[in-house]
Amino acid sequence: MRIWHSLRGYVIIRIEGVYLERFLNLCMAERIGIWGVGRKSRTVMTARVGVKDFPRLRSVVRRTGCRVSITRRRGGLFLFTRFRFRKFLLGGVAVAAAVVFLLSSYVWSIGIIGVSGTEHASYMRQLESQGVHIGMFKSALDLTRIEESLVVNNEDVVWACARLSGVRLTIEVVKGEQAPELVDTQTPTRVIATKDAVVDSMVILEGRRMVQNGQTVEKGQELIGGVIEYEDMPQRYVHARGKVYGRVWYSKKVSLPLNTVTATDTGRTLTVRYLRLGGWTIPIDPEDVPYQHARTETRDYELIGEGLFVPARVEAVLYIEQDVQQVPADMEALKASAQLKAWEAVKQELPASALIENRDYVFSVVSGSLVCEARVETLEQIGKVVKLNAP
Amino acid sequence: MKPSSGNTPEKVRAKLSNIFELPADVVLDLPRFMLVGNSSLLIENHEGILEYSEMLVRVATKEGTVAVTGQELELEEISTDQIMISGRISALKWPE
Repeated sequence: MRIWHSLRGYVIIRIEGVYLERFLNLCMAERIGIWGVGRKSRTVMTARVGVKDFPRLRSVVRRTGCRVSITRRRGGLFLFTRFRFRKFLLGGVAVAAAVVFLLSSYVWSIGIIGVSGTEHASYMRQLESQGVHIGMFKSALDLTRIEESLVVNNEDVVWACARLSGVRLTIEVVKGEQAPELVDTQTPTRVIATKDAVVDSMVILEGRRMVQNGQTVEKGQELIGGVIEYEDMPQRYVHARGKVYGRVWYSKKVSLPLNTVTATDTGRTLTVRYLRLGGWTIPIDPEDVPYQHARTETRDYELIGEGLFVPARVEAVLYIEQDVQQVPADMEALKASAQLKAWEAVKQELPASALIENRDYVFSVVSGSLVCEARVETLEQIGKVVKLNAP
Repeated sequence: MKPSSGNTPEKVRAKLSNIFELPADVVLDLPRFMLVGNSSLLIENHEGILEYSEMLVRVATKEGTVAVTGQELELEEISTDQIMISGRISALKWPE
């Protein structure tokens, strides 16, 4: 009711008089809608009354001798009256409402749930090929058709649901489990070891156990046989399969020099010039360099013959003497570095599915170098199914 | 003069209400009060406002004058059927 009064419009009145209670009772008797009555003083009261009912107060006022004055006008009617002549403002409001209405009739966002990031683009392309894209009219959307096409065009999709909430189109996709790979049970096979190992455990689905747990096997050795033999029955060939887990050891060595070489310039230099004429090199200065260790810097000076068939050049080689010393490396840092490098080297040989059971490092010094050997023990599947040449 | 048997229409209606388990406020046209916390009071079946100030509202009912005391009392809604009083209501006094 309050909302209705707010829309229609109401006035806040001030009532002055002695018989205020009588005023209220008469209002009730006349069925004049009055609410929000507050007493301000002994002779003053405020109340709210609807626009339509306000003129009907006249008889009540006359009978009670009260004075009624309007203090405020509120509600939709007065708001409209106030803005009636402000045509541009009303026009702006109308335009804004129209723009909001127009913009809300487009699809502004498309979300796909249940697909990975890489697949997202592919699904978006599929939607675009059906005319579903950001910026399209919502009325042009056929949600049922989108759902059907996603299920039909994608083999792995078993259920799709498209729903529109506001300006966002959300498509939920559910993929089914991939069917297990079919096993060709008709082909006789056997399981052999892919590497040297110690058998840890075996899960034989079909075939005959050829090795025992704890037994050392070599690469290529038969682990599960495909030939079943009984005493009084003919040989039978089966599709041997199963998992064979074995302990495998990997080892890699890395050597690092115990001493690090440092070279510092002594400050002494010597320049030796050569004349280069075509393919010949002719020394201009004496060639003997008196330094045991030196680094060189070369500069070219072109004399004549640029663009000619045989150009002549002077090459100046600057020899800078160096003091070379071998400094013993920090052993702890060297060990840590060697350990890391050895681990990196051995890690490259480990299969991704291998479970590392043990890992240790052995250090030794061999001819001025620190040798680190990384030893890794893994538990991994070593069985491989191969065809059996049955007669 | 024949002595009164004491079966006034109100008493008959009260008995009927009791026998048939009918709500007394409907059958006997009694006032009904609904107090929500201490912030608002709805009075139905009233017979008018006798006195109204910020601290006291006296309402006439069929059972007598009911006084509602409190602070900052306002008449949120008034009509022939009901009156809603809001504010900090501290007491509702029934006529003795």
